[in-house]
Amino acid sequence: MTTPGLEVDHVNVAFGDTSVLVNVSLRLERGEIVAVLGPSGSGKSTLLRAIAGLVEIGSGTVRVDGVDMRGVATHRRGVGFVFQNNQLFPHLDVAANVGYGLRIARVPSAQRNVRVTELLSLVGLPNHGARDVATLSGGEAARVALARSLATSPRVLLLDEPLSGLDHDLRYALADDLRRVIRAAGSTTLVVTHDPVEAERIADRVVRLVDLAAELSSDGQ
Amino acid sequence: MAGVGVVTTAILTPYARAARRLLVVPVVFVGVFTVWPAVTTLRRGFDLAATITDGGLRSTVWFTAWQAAISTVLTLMVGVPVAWVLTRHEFVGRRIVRALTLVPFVLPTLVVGLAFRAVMPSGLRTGVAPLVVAHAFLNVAVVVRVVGARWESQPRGFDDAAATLGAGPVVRFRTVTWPALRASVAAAGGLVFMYCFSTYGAARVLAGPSRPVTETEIYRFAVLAGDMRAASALAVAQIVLVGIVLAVTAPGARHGASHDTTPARPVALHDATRPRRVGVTLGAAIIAVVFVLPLVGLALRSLRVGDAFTLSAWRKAFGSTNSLHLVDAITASIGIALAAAVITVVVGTLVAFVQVHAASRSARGVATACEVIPVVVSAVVVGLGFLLAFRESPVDWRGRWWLLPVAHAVVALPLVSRTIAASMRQIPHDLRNAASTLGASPLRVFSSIDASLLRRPIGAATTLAALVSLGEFGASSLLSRRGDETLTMAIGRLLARPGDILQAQAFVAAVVLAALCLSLVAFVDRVTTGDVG
Amino acid sequence: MKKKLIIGVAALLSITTACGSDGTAEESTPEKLTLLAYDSFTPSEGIFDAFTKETGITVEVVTGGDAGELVAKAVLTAGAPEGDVLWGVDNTLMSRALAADVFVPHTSAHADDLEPAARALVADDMLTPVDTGDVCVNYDKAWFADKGIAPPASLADLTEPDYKGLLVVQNPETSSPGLAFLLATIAEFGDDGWESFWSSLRENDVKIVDGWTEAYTVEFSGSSGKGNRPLVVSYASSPPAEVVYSDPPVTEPPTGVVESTCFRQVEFAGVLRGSEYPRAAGQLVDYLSGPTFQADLPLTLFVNPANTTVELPQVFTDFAATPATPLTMDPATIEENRTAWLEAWRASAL
Repeated sequence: MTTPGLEVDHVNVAFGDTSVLVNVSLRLERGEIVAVLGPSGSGKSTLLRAIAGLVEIGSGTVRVDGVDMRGVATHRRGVGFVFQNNQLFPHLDVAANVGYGLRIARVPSAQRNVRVTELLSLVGLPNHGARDVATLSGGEAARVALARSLATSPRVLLLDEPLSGLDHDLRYALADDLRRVIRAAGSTTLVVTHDPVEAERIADRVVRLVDLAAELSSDGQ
Repeated sequence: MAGVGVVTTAILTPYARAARRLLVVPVVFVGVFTVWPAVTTLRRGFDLAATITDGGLRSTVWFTAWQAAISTVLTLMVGVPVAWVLTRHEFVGRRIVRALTLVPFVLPTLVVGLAFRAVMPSGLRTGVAPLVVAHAFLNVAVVVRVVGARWESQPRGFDDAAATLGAGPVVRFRTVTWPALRASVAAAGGLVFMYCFSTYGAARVLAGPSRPVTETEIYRFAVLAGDMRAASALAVAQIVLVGIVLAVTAPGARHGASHDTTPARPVALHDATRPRRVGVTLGAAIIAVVFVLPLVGLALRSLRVGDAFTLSAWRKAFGSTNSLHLVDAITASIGIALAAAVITVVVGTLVAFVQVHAASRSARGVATACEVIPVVVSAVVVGLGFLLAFRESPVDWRGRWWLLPVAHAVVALPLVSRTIAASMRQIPHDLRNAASTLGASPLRVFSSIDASLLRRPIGAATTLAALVSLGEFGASSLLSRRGDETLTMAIGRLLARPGDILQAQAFVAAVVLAALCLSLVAFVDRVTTGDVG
Repeated sequence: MKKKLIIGVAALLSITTACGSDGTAEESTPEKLTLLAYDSFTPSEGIFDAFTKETGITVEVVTGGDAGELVAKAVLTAGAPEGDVLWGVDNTLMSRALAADVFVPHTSAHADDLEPAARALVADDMLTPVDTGDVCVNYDKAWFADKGIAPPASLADLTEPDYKGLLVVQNPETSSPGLAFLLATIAEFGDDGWESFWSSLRENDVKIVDGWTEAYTVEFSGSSGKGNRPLVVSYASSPPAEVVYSDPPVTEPPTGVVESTCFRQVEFAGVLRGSEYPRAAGQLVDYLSGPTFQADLPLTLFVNPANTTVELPQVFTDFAATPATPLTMDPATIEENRTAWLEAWRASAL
């Protein structure tokens, strides 16, 4: 069997005395798109944040392309993340937001511009580079956030309720776009959502968060 | 997003016309209690030509400016990390530590100077270095409050987003946090520079006689040497310089002072990564120690009479000896602070109201002038001006008790109006429009919408004004008064006499004052963040 | 806009003038007199009751600042003063006040009992001397006993190697005892010698601080601050104050006075020009220089009463130094030269 693109193995996360994730395990093949379903407050976001290194894991292991991420800081994990509220930097324009990760990686500006243009076309926003992010509509902001996280070609892409702020029609249209763009980029992708329809449209495979711990216990016995 | 922020030019608001009328009150207040006294004093001897050519005055101003610049840089370098620890994290005792950072800001500088000096190695007790360090210590609170308020409202998500895009902690700070904080840092820097430029108590205790600064020289020339020409020259130089600094940093102040809106919830410490947890814990511990030590020093001094530790200074403070009447002094301090707070908040709210709601640029400009003038004018000049301007009918106010709270209100006005204006700007205009369409008159709109939304910041501003009043010494010392002395005055008087008991009692008064200030600050924090924590 | 502003001001003024005092015929007896004094003017409570009983006039004490601030304010408000009588102008500040025409003459009913030398400092009874005190070098007895060194005996001794790094003084530009000490050195060494004395002091590592409080309570080793300098410029009456305000009670002050370094300060009271009740104000000056009030001074203000008929309390006579021939200087000379002296002092001492 090939090395999985992302492997979550017996992961436990607790905030103080409250356990949020208990023995969660999950495996994604390289390039696979998996959606995790769960009601709000069930720990979906925490799972993504644990994979990204934004919260500390009590016990268990996260591997990206077979490499143990223990002790690796977020910015060295090569993990892309689309946040629930997009978190576009308000002091930068659209192009600078998308190009942010490339600048951090010291990609020369000529190359950077090419890549930014390419990504903006990919997400359907060509010629929007100079816009102020405050003027973007909800759908546009979500696309820019996706473009930004894909710019550095992350090994793993994490999406936290990427379409939550949008109304129905737009949402499902965008879900299809999302799937197309991610497929094109080829990243191993984990998306969490509370909406089963959205999950089906984006992902190759849908799992429920409550089953992830069970999956492990059956493995274990 | 919509409706928040830049709506100051909304021409059709019912408030615009009211704003124009209400401007009368702050204009009269600042005119009568700052401009007129200052002009009366300065008229006693201002000579422009002589001022510009006087080398001694120039070098004094030059030294004052550069020590203030260095002090400001150091204050920011210390204050920004402190703000990070205290506003980005939630941990047990955070509010107490935060309140502690305000204590040096509100204690009389003389007391802080002495406490500070007692802990400095003897070689470093006077000179530029201790002065600069003391300024940082005194003003860190300003940075924590101004920058911290901005930082609190910065969503943590930006930082996380940058991290997932490959930015390390340093790069994250430079590319994400700093752009968001820059304006508030500039605003805090402007305020700190201004306080350091007009430094008085700390300079007298710590700078040493060979390094006079502008405010102490104004005092020396005006009061001790009777040379009003030189005093006026320096006072005018101070007005110009501080005015320039404020003009440069004022746009930042507008953004930076986003006090008192609902801040983002700080990171619970157990939710942070281990290095951060260690850093924050260590940082909070250091901050607590640095700010608690002087207080402990004060408390110990109040218990030490001669070589013995004893409660006698405390016991005698409640008795009938003629040295310190603690209860009377507390009552006087609180009474004056309350009066000052009420005056400041009334005038400050009006200044803020005009700044935010007036339609005409000139009306807003006049309101801003009302806020800036009390900052740039030397306290000594105003103090002497009270005496000179208010002594003949129809304004024969010699020795009136209310001159003291009014003087304190002048000093506190800018801080208060800034706090209130920042919150006023955050109220979405559509809320008011909604009320209007439902039939509310402008006054009704104000009382039902603004007043209830501003209750919290106005409470905070009242307390700030009271704090300023409790610690004010510069203008107060020149005002003549009858009746009970305040704690601050008692401290000055007791320290100026030999005798162990009197000295210990000065520190009793200082401890009580510090406790009073601390409880007020704790109260502000509870009031301003009550629904968050 | 402008009109409204004027109306606003006028309204404000009319409210406040309603409570102002109104001037009436000059010889009527006031209900109340205002006594201006420095912040540390703390006589015994009820000390003016006798005056009120005698004259029917109550006395209201208005304080504001130290002696320098008090005189500065009196000079600025000459002719329209804040009160009727002023307590606390001393011989180093006196000429400035007299030049500004701050006072009107009054001859105290007790003039003959007042110390003649002090009275002679003022012409035409423009001011009435009320107390005297000496500014002297104080020393920490225990420190010198421990080291087995004798305390200095004169101003000149202070430049000796034995006393290197031991003395703390106040800046004469900002401190009244500091100025008195500078005047002492000028009186002692004369126009030709005092500047080089200060240069030697500087080489002997004298410490100059801003005011009395820092010098005595922080730097000086013999008082509450437990600093590290055993010699300080303070008052001849500081030792008895250390005894009176000690706890537990001590019988012997921890400090002593180098008597030959003492400079005589004389404090005066006077009737302010512009007072509506000069006659009553004169009565108050009489009371201030009379035996009842004067007897209260030694243990409240720690000064020597100017009234020679007053008997001094034991603790005061035991521990306060009373130098037989303190250094002095003519007030007019002080006023004439002060600015130049301070500049020269800067050059040689800093």
